[in-house]
Amino acid sequence: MDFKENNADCLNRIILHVDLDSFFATAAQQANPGLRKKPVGIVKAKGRSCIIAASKEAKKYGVKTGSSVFEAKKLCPSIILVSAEFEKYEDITYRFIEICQKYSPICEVFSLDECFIDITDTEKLWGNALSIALDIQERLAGEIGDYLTCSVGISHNRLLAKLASTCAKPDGIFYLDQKSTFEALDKAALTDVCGIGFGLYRRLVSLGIGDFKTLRTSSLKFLYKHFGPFWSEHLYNLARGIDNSPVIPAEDIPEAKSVGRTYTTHRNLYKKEEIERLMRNLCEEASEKARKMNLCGRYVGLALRGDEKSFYGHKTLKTYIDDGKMLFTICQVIFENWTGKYIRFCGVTLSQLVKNEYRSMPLFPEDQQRKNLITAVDKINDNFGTYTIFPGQLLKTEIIRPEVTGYFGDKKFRPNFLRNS
Amino acid sequence: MINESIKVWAVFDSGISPVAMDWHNRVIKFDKVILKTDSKRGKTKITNMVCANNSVVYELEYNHQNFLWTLKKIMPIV
Repeated sequence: MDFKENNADCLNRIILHVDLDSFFATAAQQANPGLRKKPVGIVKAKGRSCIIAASKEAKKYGVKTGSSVFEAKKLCPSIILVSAEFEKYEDITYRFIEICQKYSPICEVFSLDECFIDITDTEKLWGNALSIALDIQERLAGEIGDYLTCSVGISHNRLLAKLASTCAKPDGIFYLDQKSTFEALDKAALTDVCGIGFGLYRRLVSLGIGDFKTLRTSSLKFLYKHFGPFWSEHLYNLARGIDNSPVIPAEDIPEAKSVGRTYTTHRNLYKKEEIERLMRNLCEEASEKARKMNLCGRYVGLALRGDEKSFYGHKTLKTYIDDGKMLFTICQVIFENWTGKYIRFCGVTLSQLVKNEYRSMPLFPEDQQRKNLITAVDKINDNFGTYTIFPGQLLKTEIIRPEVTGYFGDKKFRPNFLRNS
Repeated sequence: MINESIKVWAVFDSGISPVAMDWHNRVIKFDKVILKTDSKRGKTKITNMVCANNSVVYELEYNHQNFLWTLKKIMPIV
C-alpha cells in the first residue's frame, strides 16, 4: 500500500481547527463576571456528581471534564459549582459557527465547541490562514463575549489541525507544518488524537505500544494481525500524521443510522415503575426525534446499567415504528430480561431507519386515529414547547427534556440546529 | 432566581439594547450588555440578556411574542 501517493494531494490542503477554550465554564464566566478568574466546575444540574466542564483556573488544580464533584473538591476546595445552562451554550455555539462559516463554505461542526474549516480555496480572499485565525479570535471576543477565547490549529489535515489547536491552548494559534509532524506527534499522548479511545489505547499498551514513536515502528503486518484491516491502516496512518478525510459541511452529513436517548440518573432506581417511567420518557424523546427527522425504524435497543451489571437487549420488528408508546411497549418486553437490582443508566435506540414516506399507510381506523393523535400532539408541542402534552405515565415525575450534547446528539440534528436557530 | 416582570427601556435597532429598568420603583441603568443569547420556547423566541453596571449583573429575558420583560437573576460582581 502506498500511503505517500494517497497523501500527496492532501498536503496542499489548509485546514483550521477552531476550539472554544473550556467552553461551558468560560460561557458561565462570560455570563457572570463574579465567576471570572475563579475555579469553576460546571455540573449538569444542582446535586449532580459529575463535572462536565472545568474552567482554566480549575484545570490548574487538576480538575478535568468527567471528574466527580468529590474529586474536584478534594483537588480544589475553593471550586465553585455552577449548573449548566444549555440554552445559552447552544446559542453561543450557533453564533460561533456562523463566524467560522464566513471564511469557507466547507465548515464542519465537529461538536458543540469546535469546528474544522477547509480554507484551501478561500484562504487568499482573507489574506492567509493566520489572518483568518486572528480574525476569528477577534470576532469571537467582539461579537459574542469578551471573556470567550478560542484556540486555532492550522495544518494540512484534520488530524494535525486538531493536534495543533491542542498545542495552542489556551487562546493561541499554532501552525503545524509537515516537517514538525513527527515532533508534535511524539510529544502527544496516544489518546490526544481523534480515533484512539480508551479501549483501543488499552489494547495498544498491552502490546507494548504506549506512544506514537513506538506505534510508528510497528509494521502494518503486525497491526493487521492485532487490529484487523480497518484499524491497522488507521493506526499506521495516525502514527505518520496522515489523514485524508475530508471536512464535511453540515449539508453533506449522511442520513442518521439511528436515533436514541440515554440518561444517567443521579440516584439508583430500584422500583420497576420508576424504571419504566424513565424508559417511557426516553422513548418519547427518541421517537419524537425520529418523527422530526421524518424517519421510522424497526430495530429497538435498550441499554441498562446498574449494580455492576450492564445489559443490552434488542428486538427487530417486522414493521417500522415512530410512536413513543409502541417503542416503550417493546422496551418493556426487552426489560423483562433484566435481572439486576437497580439501574443508574438507561438508553433507548431506534435504528434500521427508513424515510417515513416508504412506510405503508395505516390499514385499520384505530391505527389512523393513533397517527392523527401523534400528529396533533407534535403540532401542539412544536408551538408551545416540548412536553406541553405528555403521556399520563409521566405525571408527577420530573420530565427529562431534550438537551444539546457535546456532539449535538443525532447527526441529522446538526443541520436542523443550524437552520432553525 | 427572581423571575419578576419588569419595565425596561431599550433601543430596538439592529438588535435589542437595554438601557435601564424599573424595578420596585427604582430606575437602574445599565452600562453594557455582556452576553446576549436567543432560544425558542415552542415557536416563541426568547432573548436572554446579561446586563451590567459598576457593581451588579442583571439577567433579563425578553419574550418576542408578548413583548414582556422578566428579571431572571441578579448577581453581584465580587
